[in-house]
Amino acid sequence: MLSLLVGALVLSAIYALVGFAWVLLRRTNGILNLATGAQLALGAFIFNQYATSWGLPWPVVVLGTLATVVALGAVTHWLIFRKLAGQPEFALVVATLGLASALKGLSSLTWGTEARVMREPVEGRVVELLDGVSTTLYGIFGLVAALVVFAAAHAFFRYSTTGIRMRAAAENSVLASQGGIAVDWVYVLGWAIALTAAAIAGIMYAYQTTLSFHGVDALGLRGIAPALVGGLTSIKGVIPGALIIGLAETFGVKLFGGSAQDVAAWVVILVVLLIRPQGLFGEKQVERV
Amino acid sequence: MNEPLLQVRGLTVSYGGGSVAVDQVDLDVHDGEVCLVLGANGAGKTSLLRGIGGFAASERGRVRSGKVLIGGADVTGRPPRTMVGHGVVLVPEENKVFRTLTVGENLRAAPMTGDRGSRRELLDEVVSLFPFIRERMDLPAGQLSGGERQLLGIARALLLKPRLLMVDEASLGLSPIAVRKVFDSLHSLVAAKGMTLLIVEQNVRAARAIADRAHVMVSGTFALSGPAREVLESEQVRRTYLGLEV
Amino acid sequence: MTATEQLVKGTRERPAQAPLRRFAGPGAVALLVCVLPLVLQDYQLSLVNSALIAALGALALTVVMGFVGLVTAGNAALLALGAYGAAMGGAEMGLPFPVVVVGTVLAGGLVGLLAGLPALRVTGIYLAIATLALHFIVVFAFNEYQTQAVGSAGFFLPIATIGGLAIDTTFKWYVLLAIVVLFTWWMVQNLKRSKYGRAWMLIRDTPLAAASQGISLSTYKLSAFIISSALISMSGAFLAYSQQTVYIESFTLELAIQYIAMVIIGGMGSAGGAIAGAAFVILLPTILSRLIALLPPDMYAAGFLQQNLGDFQLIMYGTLVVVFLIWRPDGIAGLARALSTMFLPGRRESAKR
Repeated sequence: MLSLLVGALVLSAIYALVGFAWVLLRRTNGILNLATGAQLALGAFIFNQYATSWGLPWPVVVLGTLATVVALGAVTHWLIFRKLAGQPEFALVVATLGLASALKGLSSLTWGTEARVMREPVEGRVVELLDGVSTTLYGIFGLVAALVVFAAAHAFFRYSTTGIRMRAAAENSVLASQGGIAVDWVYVLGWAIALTAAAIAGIMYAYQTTLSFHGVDALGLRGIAPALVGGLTSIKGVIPGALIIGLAETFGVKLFGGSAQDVAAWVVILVVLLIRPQGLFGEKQVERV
Repeated sequence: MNEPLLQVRGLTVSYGGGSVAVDQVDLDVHDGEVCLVLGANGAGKTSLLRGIGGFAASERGRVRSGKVLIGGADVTGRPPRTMVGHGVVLVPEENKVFRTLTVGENLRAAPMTGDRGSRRELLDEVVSLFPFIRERMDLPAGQLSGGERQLLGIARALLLKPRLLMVDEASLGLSPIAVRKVFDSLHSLVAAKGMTLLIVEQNVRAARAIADRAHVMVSGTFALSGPAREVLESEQVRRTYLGLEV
Repeated sequence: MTATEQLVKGTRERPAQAPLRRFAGPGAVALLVCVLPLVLQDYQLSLVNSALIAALGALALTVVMGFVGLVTAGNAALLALGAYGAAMGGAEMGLPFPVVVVGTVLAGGLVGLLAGLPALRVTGIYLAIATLALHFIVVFAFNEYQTQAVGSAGFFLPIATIGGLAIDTTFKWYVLLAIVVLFTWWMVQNLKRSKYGRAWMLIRDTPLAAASQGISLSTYKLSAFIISSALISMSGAFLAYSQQTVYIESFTLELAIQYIAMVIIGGMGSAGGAIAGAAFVILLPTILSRLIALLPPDMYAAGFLQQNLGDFQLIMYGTLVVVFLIWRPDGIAGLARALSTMFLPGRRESAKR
């Protein structure tokens, strides 16, 4: 039982990172990014290219992945979403679907579809926490990564001037522009941070399982569940959301077998839409008529 | 006389390619001048300020034709952030503050220029103009009173070192006491700093004390222009805006 | 253009149309429908059949995406619903083809109601999320069902028969599909001009104005989604019967995006555009591989392209969706209109307004 809970917690950490990527883009850039799954996989494959295929030193791998992902974020905004400014939300969502399709094709073309094992910085041992309760070293890395990202995000949005300007632009982009804030750069930063969080989630997940486009892509899409449970725009809300999804998936697999992994999160989404569509922390968005 | 700070020539503003809100307006604002635009709801006053201050890419409004010059430089149709760079800062009619940010964060959100010392100095100067800010630093701006929100919006604009400050309907929805406070502040700004102002106002009595020139806007064009005293004393304005009380 | 202007325009423009132009469009379509089977070979006609089935789905999707402006990612799931409905009804229970088709329409409508009801109480964006959930749950359920019932090869369907007439040749399928698509096209056009269509477009363009006129946003949105779901499910049944096999691997999220690509490339809100978009998306792989065949066979790029055609398809559909959204949200239909304005001076007047 305790082992299961630890497993759920490790899984929740990954979901928290994915959910963070969904919420950040929804909130800062106003985009429901259905390409999150593909971008998660892309981040992990770029990392794998540097780490495994090219065998670069680890600091170079980390900085190189970060730089590539940030550059991709900038390109995504300047090439696509800046050009869609002023179009209805509908167009933005459809564009993310188109992006998802194109990224999947690119990834499959470059790296194929078979599963890979990534080069490990340290040997992935099993860590015994208590008597009979254990997890893998990479499970703990995932937890630490999630904690670091959330703590850093909290500090960034709370205390840094750039973070405060991002919140300002997220609340009212026209007023932000009138107040001299470079809204386009805020959006670029939104993409860069979201894609970085997504890449970290993808890498951690790939270390805990294997690296395959299909697996990481599906995880990224399921990451909308913790975001929705938390209210789609609340970064705080992602944490309980991720815990709920982590528990649902872990116990779903325990009760109904391995294939439940694919649907547990989606069932939670339908239940949330039925009983509390605005999520646990979201503002009520019901259409007033 | 010198070249005007702001020159507007034949400005036409429309929304979504359809309705024209401002139709071929000419306007000059000189350095240190306070210019007042009067008019009924829907006359195009806000659109005039927005046409000068610029529309964001996400908005439907566009400058369809005409020119806007700041200090002789053509800045027609530039987005708001570029206009801020040219010293044109607008305090909009609604949503003048970031409600989910605290008062302090609202001020920090303004990208100030200059070195650390001069930024500190300007911030202190602005806060001393609006003393309530110091007490409310950590309060979410959404919880401020209407008058305080108005003043915070102006304070944030001042941090951007405007050469031309545009204020849209400063008195809207405020109590008479709050209106007095806001206009006292504007008055002291003009007196102390020689601020150039372009204001849209329906509350003529509040604006009368500070305005140098006035324009009356009717369906997208200026129906009457001149020195504020003359325009505000004219039969038309007295009847329409001041009622029988004056 | 505001919705109210569109409303006015819609009623004002039609009587002004010259009779020649009013019948030119339908006439050309009728001619095309008659000529195609005469000039095309069997294989080519079967491609046209695939395009016609896709056109059914694209027409249905136009109602919910083009008229109401909602995003749905559940197209593949609804196709699977129709296809597996056909497998269950036609192969497992031995029901006649027309009964199965009606059954899949009803099932599609019901699932549309169930998925749309909770989501559309909230803003439109939640439909995208709910349909994404629908996709994964439906695919999961049918996968389980297929594994238990027949195994991974999937289901084999009997030949479709209508009143004793077996639809067993490409040409017969062509006739059936052409009739169904033309009827659906006519129906969607009429829907667009009806009270519902005008309300939908008002909701899409100015939701506040629609609400102030007493239009219940969630009811109208839901009705569009139900109609669209029923039709897509029906096209899934046609797909299953015409291919005579059903297996779960064909119903991917990329398929759902392909259908969205048809609507976007064709031109949002245009029924004729949806059909053109469907034809484009379905025929693109064939055209691409023909073009590649023209390259010298010993060229490295030719082999690479041919081997990875599927990936290039994904990239092209995705890129085209984004490019059309940015460059021409009115799609091929809008392009055609712009071109006809350029070359047919008589049309200039109406296009300008």
